[in-house]
Amino acid sequence: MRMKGAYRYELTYRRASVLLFAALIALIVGVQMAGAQNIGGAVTIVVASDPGAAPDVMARILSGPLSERFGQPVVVENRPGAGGNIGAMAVSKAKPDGRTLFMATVNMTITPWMTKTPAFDPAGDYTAIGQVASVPMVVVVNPALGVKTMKELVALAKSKPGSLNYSSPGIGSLNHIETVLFERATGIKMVHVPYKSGAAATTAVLGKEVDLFFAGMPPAVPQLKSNALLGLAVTADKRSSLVPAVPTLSEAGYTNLESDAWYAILGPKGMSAALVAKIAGALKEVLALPNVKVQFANSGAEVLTSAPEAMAKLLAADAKRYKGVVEDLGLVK
Amino acid sequence: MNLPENLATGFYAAFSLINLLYCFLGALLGTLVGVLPGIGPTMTIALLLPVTFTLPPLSALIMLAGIFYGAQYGGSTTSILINLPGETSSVVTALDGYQLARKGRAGAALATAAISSFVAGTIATLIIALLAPPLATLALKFQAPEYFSLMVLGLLVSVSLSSGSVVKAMGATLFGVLIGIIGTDVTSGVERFTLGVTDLYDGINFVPIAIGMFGLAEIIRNLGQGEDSSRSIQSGKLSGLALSGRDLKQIVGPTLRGTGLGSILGLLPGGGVVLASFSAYAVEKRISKDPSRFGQGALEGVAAPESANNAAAQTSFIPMLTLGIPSNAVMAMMMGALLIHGITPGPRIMTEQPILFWGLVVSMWVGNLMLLVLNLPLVGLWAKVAQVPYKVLFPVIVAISCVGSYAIGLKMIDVFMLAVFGVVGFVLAGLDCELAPMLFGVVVGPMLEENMRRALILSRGDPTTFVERPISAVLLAIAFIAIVVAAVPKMRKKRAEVFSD
Repeated sequence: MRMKGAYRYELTYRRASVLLFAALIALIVGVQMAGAQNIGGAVTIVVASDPGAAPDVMARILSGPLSERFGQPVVVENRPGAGGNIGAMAVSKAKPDGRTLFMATVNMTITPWMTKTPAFDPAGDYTAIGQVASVPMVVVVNPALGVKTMKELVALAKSKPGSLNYSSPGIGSLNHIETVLFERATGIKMVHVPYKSGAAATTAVLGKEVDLFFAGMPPAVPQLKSNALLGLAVTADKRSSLVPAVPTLSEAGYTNLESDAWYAILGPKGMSAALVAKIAGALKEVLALPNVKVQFANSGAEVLTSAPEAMAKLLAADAKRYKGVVEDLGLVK
Repeated sequence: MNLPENLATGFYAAFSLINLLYCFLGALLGTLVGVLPGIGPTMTIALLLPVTFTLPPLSALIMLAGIFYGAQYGGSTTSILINLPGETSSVVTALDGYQLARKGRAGAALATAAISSFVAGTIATLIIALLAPPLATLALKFQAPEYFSLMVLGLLVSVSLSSGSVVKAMGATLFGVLIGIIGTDVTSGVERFTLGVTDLYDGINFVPIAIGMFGLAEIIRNLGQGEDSSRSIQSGKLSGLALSGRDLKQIVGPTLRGTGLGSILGLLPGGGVVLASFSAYAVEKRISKDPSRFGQGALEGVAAPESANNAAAQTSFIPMLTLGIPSNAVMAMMMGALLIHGITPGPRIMTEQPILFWGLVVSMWVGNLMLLVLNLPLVGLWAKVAQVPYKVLFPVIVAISCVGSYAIGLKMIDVFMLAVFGVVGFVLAGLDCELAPMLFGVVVGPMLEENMRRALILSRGDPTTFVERPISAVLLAIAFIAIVVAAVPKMRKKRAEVFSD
């Protein structure tokens, strides 16, 4: 009697678990098949920098609101190294299913050209989804240097050629390149002192180890706000709302030298147009949120959105431009 | 400056129920994360950063700070118990801590680590409260020539980290420097020794090197001895967990000296907890009456580095808060968190945001207290790990090490390096070469070169810059004296006498 009952119980149990298993398989398969139109799983935003750097902070600011709109968890993955190449290469090899995104910065259009065989093709290996921010550079000097405008700085540099030192977060960084382009345009000669990061390069000006730095906004903001450092010009085409008293390069008298450090979300190449539109739409909504704008602004970035096509054009244009610049400056190894 | 009033403001803010809760949470998380090798406060804080956007700024800072210095407490636990540094700053603790565990004195070692960390934390908090602004300006005076001279002094002092042949120690240090050089040079952008491997562009990560050379090498050695692997690491009985009066007297001096050294080194951007712990150990060994005890299980060898790394962790807040200069990745993230909340770190933070500043300072002390209370009772439990049969323990250690190494950057190369340096560590130890000077070389070598070249660029090739500047000259003079003292025949004979027993 007891055995019969046990047998029946076991049969029922096994039937139920088989059904459950089958249902689970069906669910998984179904979800995967729907992946082409919807994002079928957790989304990873790859950031090619250490935690705490500007792109990382921005990706984390976006991850919460984005995950609400995707209905999927959004995770930030740090893949620092090789000047951003490691992260960029990881994304270029990922599947174009919308689950791997890249928080790209303009550096990705510079670094591949610095080696004889580029590690990746900035324009060809990616699908542009949209720009998210613009992070201009600001020329900072120590107040003890005694100059208050860009013109005075150039005059000082001309009076003592080869004596002023400038810092940068590394050879081939946008800051370095922009400084060299400025030197060429104005005919001055300064000495480059590379550092390992924007923070170290900013500290160098603070400690008077170097005289000036074409700083990215994020490490410079605290120093500018406390007046420990003086901002002479911003490299964008309009003034930054964070430091409204600092003129643009054009206003300071130097035109055609604008350089915008853009931050954008890209995906691997081959993403479907529907997927791109979906992600771009969610991105646009998130970037319009007031608290996101404030958080970006506090980190030194101005929210600046663009449509996928416009971003693709910008990406291709910058890739071409900086290829020429890198070769011109002899930075190819 | 009205200290009692400021401290009162701080106490009021830090002792609110919600801030106490976040402090505890941070400290607990930090300890857990510190225990796990490879996974550290940097990663944890990065993961929790979005959560802190919604918290009030003081609570966010309190929690993140708790994670950071909590990790310094936790890192020493695995260092002592299984020779596996949980944090890079606990590498040196393993030297004596593990030997103490093998002798059945794991409890004493763990208790020493906890107590010296707490004392260091308390004193460092006081230092921050009293001296934050002047200390910050001191930090700015350290530029390339000073860093270079400090590194020279450090490297020379590291030779005294080993008890054996001076030549071997120098050789090990040099080997470490060569390993450290692998990667891209900052000053010229040239890749060196990377063999074309992109993943080596930034060099070999320190964590797999340390875990491999200490933890894995020890496992290889233990297994290779062919002993019965159902025995445990610990030979002999587990002696008392409490510290005797004599023990306490032994660790007072090292703790205080370690705190002093750690507080200063934590201030320097790029200095930090690793440098502090190594230096404190070396200094302690140098001035000890019986240096041969170090490396065999001397409590001072645990007290000094542990107090140094905790003090350094706390004073590294000073440049970030008062100048807006982050000394390490963790500080960079905290600064990011502050900025997002609209608070600008800088000289005026003490006057513009007194509640934030003093609340944070007081809560650092509260966190240290919580950690002491948390860790001391657990010492007995942790010490039992040393009694686990080895055949169960070592696969777990290997697995955790691999996961921890992979978790750094999600790259397999770090795991490969773990394996490679496990073998390297085994071979070197077999050749009677000390590992600590090598690791010190890995950390200090590249910094030495970077700063030397930077100093020479800035002086346009004039080498007298190193002796013209006062701080640099003093550091070099101390280094010179250190060599002379070691080389003078009378001293040399005494040294041989000491090492022959």
